[in-house]
Amino acid sequence: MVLWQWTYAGSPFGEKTPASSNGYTLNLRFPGQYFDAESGLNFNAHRDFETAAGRYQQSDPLGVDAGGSTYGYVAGNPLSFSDQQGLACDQEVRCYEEYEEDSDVCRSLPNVTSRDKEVRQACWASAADRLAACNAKRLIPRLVTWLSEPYSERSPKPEKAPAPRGTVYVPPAIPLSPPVTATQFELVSVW
Amino acid sequence: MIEPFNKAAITFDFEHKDDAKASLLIGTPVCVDDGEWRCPYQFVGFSNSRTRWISGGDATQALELAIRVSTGAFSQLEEVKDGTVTWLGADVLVLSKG
Repeated sequence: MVLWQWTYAGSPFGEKTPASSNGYTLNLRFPGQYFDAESGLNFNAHRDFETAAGRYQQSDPLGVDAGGSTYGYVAGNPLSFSDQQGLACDQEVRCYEEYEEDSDVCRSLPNVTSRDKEVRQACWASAADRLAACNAKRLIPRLVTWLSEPYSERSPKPEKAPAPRGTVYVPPAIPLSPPVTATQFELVSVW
Repeated sequence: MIEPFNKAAITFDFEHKDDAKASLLIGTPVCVDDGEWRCPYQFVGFSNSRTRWISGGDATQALELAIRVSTGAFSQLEEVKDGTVTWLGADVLVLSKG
């Protein structure tokens, strides 16, 4: 049984509301948004989002530092991005914020042995590649987990490598020596 | 707020339709922690002139990654998209062929 449906066709900014055949009301909208029936707007933490215009009702609290179009929603690209806090409508700002989060993943890695350093370098490269891709509006899974050693060197050795959840991203070869095996780049996607 | 960086290791000067100054500055990497170097870059003369810092495991990697990210970001700048600023007549900043 389908409890609710939310058609995407002709509704890139969520202009159409979720439909239900059994009276169920779904007030969730885009990530971070909750529909307010009284105002007809989507509450988006720091601001209210108007679906018909595809824009916010209020200017970005971050000001022009978050981008020139302070009323815009995810640089007019809801296909690729969301704005959970109603802040930073500028895509470049958003990409760099995510890059800093990715960098924290790299910083959390051990840095003792030479192999640790190789893995950290690979992590930095992957984070930068993801930033470049984000700036170019190409999607690459977030760095959520980072395997510091291949499955084959783990102790105790698993019977078989666990299947990764979501998309597995293998970044392009890094022009730094020595190369790192692809098993170290298995990442869990949050998309 | 624009964070300053000490000196530019690499500077690209772009062609501006109004002969205004438009450049990409890539700074010298600095060591911020054991195992982390950061290299800044900044587009000057654009609406987005924020300084961005790119991390790497050593100075060479930080510089290399900063070049990679900044050159890729060039095409996404508003002034490049509307044709106000170009690099060798094109909207992409390519350093080498192949």
